[in-house]
Amino acid sequence: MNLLGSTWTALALGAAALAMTWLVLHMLRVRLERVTVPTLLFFRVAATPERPRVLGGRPRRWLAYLLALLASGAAWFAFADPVLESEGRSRLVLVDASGTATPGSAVLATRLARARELAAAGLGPRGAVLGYTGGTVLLWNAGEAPLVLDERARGLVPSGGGSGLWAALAAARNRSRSGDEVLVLGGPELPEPERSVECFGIRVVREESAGGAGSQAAPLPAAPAPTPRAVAFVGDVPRSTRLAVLAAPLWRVVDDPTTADLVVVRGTSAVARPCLRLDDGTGAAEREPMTTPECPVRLGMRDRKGVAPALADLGDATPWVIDARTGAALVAARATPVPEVRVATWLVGGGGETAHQDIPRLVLTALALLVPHGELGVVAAGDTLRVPTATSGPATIRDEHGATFASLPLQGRHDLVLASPGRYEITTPTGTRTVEAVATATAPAAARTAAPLQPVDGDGHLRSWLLLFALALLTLDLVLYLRGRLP
Amino acid sequence: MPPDPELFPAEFLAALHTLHIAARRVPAGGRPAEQSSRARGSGIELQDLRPYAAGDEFRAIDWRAWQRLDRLFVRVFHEDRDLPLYFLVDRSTSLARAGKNRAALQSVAALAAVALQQMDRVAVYPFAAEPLLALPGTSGKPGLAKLIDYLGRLPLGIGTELVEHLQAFAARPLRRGLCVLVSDLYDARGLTPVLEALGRVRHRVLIVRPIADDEARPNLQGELEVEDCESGATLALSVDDALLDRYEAAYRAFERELQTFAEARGVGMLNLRIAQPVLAQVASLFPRGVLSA
Repeated sequence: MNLLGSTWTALALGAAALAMTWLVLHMLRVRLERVTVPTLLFFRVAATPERPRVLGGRPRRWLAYLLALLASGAAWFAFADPVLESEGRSRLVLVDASGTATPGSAVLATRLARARELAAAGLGPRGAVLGYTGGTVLLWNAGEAPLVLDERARGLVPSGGGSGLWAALAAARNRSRSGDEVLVLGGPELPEPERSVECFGIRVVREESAGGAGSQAAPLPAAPAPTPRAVAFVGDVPRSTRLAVLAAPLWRVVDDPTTADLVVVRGTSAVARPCLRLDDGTGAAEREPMTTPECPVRLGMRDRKGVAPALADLGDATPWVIDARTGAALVAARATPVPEVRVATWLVGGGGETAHQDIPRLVLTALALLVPHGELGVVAAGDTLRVPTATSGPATIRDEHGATFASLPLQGRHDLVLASPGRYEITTPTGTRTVEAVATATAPAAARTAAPLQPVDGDGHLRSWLLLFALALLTLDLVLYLRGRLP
Repeated sequence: MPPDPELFPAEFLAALHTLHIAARRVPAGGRPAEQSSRARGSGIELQDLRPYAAGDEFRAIDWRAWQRLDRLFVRVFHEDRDLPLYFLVDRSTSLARAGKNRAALQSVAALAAVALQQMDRVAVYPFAAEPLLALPGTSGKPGLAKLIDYLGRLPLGIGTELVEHLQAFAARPLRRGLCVLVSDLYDARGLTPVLEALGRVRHRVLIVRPIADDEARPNLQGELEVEDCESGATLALSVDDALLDRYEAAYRAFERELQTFAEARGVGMLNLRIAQPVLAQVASLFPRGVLSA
């Protein structure tokens, strides 16, 4: 990512903000009043150590320094949002929104109602309600109206990749302090059968059913770990490219190209396997790389380079990256006869140049498209599945009975919704990938209710006071300046 | 043309006649004037008698001495000669500030008026970085109007070049007289080269320094960019009491150096405070109505 990859609006706003900041700083510079005197003779003698800006020597104007230090420190602490330790314990409520607790469902509604009830009763200065699916979402924060909880809950998107409880617990741990309590509304089961466990150093209470009407959502089965695929390097592959491949856990490097699933080759040697070809290219012009809409990843590549070659003999390959002015291809991909992505060598750091910072992403995306990992993917039925087909031509998705579920066109990224549970095969010219859509299940759970929560009142947030303090200091500074007491 | 009332008010001009100037020693040559000299000549004050010699004027014989002593004697009188006054007037920008110009010109007029009243000869040599027209010499009581008119028209320059002008004046083949230097003596090179150049002037010297009340301690405070009014050079300063103390110390050192020079060379000094009446200060040069220059 770089600035030139940003939109013009973002660039303009950034530039305006920068200009405004500098204008403010410029306006705050010491304004020297010009005074004409008969001679500088005596001023030169008297003022040698009195230059207004000197880095060395004994500091002066301690009051100005102290005021600035206090004001900036107060503002700094204010943005850190400190709270008073003495405000008592707080509670963080984690709402399970995974599995069957989809937005709008009765299960989630019950949990949210309980969370709202708890929030209304008061959760303390650090209290919060967090919803968790695959990730963790803040639903309510101390000091807010409980009604905002429902509004934010509408943004919850269920994920099939697990409940996310552990991530939510970790988030709760970051927000809590010693003595605080985390209340979990929903599943999955905690490691111990007790209602209250110590987890991440915090006390976690699980309240499965508020009023006995709740149910626990069964977690999705975890996806199996993908099997690393073999990749071989042929020719003088630049070190940056080797490192990019070595750093990716999905690839293991083999010496023999004939046993590799994919070959990274420099030069024009023919290979019978899917390959990432580093092409030294021909011609010479100032290159300004720009990604095309066909490129499978969004990259900010509008960095002007020096004179560099471009790819020749493009054939039926689809350009991914072109030179912005001449249109010459710098990265191109083709599906037949052998899937291949060709990259101008200078882009990956060949020839002693510095590789573009976004090139590793491009290289790894190309490798993943050239040889898709065929592992079993697990998604929740109804979840969205993204299928890139940029290099591999049309893709066909068949259900477990062999019936064609969908056909995707030659290029682009396509979103599929696998509504029905079952196993699906996504076939492209370069390989087959299997995805299993599973239905989420519910299991009855014993109604267990957490101990009555002790309402904890009080805000304890110091932000407003700190900001007021900083403002008061700055006002004092201004008054002293206007009275000539401060420079 | 009437004199500029701003520079020379009527009461100032009227008061000029109260002053009297006398030279401690009138140099040889020049025209008969009201300055007594060691030269014996045709004045009215008897100095001595000497024996008659062939060629003496017949009317100079003291007949009463002949009656008493029976010998011929001739009367020898003091001869009054004029005292040339050379005014070196600083016309740099620094003199144009804070009323210094008015005080400087009034002091010139006062001293010149007294000299002209007693038939002394007055010349004015203004100096600045640019060449300025001099008043080479005027004498007699009518010359005062001419001088006042000249001073009223005298333009201000920009730079000073004080040292160069003192050197040029010292090289002029002028009859010895009284050189009145009207200047603040501020030169970017410091006071020492000014005094060295002044030491080469062969005339007796009177220095008239127009100074403001805040000359020793400027009334300034805060973050300032002070600019030299002549060179335009600037200095960014944080002016506080400590800096002003050092400024005053530097100024006092300047004054001490000047005073030491004046005492060693017999140079007259008048620190002309511009906020006070000029005439009274000029009159202080005449302790008993006579200037000992």
